[in-house]
Amino acid sequence: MAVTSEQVRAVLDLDEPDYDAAAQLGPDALPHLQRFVEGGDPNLASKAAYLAGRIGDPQAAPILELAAGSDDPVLRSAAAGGARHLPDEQANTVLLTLLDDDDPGVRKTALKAVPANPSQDIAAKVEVLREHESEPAVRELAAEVFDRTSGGGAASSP
Amino acid sequence: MSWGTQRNWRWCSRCQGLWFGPSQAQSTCPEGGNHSQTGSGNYSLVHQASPTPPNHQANWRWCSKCQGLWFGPNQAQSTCPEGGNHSQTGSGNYALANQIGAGQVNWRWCSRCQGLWFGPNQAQSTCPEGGQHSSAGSGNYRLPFVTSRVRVHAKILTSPTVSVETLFHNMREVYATVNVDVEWATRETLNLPALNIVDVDGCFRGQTTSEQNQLFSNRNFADANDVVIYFVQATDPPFNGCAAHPAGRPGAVVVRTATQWTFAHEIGHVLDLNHVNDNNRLMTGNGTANITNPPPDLVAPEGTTMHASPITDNV
Repeated sequence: MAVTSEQVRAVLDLDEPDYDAAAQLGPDALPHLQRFVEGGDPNLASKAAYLAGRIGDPQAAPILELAAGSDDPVLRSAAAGGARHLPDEQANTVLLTLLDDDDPGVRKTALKAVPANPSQDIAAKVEVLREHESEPAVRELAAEVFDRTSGGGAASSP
Repeated sequence: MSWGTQRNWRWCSRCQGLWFGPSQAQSTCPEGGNHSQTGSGNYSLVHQASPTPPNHQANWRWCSKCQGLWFGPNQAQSTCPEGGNHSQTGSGNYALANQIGAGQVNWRWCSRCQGLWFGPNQAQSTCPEGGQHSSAGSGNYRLPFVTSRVRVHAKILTSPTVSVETLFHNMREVYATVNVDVEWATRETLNLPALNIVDVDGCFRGQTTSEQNQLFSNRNFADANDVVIYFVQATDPPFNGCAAHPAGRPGAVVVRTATQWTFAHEIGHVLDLNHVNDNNRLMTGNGTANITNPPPDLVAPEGTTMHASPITDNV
């Protein structure tokens, strides 16, 4: 049965959405989620962006990239959080700008989403954050991510 | 921009006026002697509110001579049972809910003495001007009477879209319906950029992340059972708020884009309330954005739970 906009809206309207249950709506929910991300309500849009990632389908990547390009850090952090649940290739694409974000909270959330085998570009950005991040907690996280990902991932491949 | 609440205002069964209970020995009743608090509830008034809350009338004053509450702009027309006009020396600026709001209805302004008195008992009332109080020209004032209170501290990392004043006001209105007073204890700005988007994992009661533990360790000015609310940019993943808190540190986070009811809803969770499937109620599990017929309700059993919570104390 097709997923309706009302069904998707109902799970996102909650104060504390159950994203595990909401992800069961599956890829059929993605067109509705995209419309919510494009809409003017940052609360709804941030939940929609995160859920799109949580569904875990590669087709969600453009929705998260849309949120990642928002002026609102609430949407950008949701895109970063959602990227944790995307396949590595799509996650790398979404995170590319978010690791350079002006907002330390967004950078922190993006660091947590760095896949085990990051692209060379992502690995390079992690290394920069490890060396030059202004927020101590984020810099410490970058060091942890660097250690986790530099042992045999794409960053150290020829 | 804040407001406070002051409890222990009492109804005098002799003159029907409202007066400040802790100063009974200094009070003067128009009936003679001190005011009486026999049979009175414990009334809570908003004071020092800036801006004045919606549907409230400011500039009510405490009279240091008789201990009564009276309408300050009309001092020259006022009559104090101690003689002369009422005094506003040392008084805060009290704001009363007028026409709309939670609490006991039918409190009236007396156009003769300028005092506040309980309208249904006009025949038993005594005005310092002589005879009974008058309700001519008065609005219908509503006074919350309370039996317990919750003290709440606001820690602001990012200001919410709905103002903190409105969030407190909305909470006070709803909680007053079950006789719980909301005391806005302090407001503090926190500069914690790395926690402004805070990881709350699945927001499960009794389970907190290291970031929540770090954030909730900021409890300046708060006693052990005080509730501390952290206003943040966002949570990861995105919620309107999350009431999961470390043991011994009651509190919740509320995000910038939360609804006007999320704040009261999350503190409801801190006071052990659970979700219900009813969009007329504060604790709806269907999203406070979908609350119909606002303000939302708290029902009597929820009030019982709140009064029994260790977070509230009897007043």
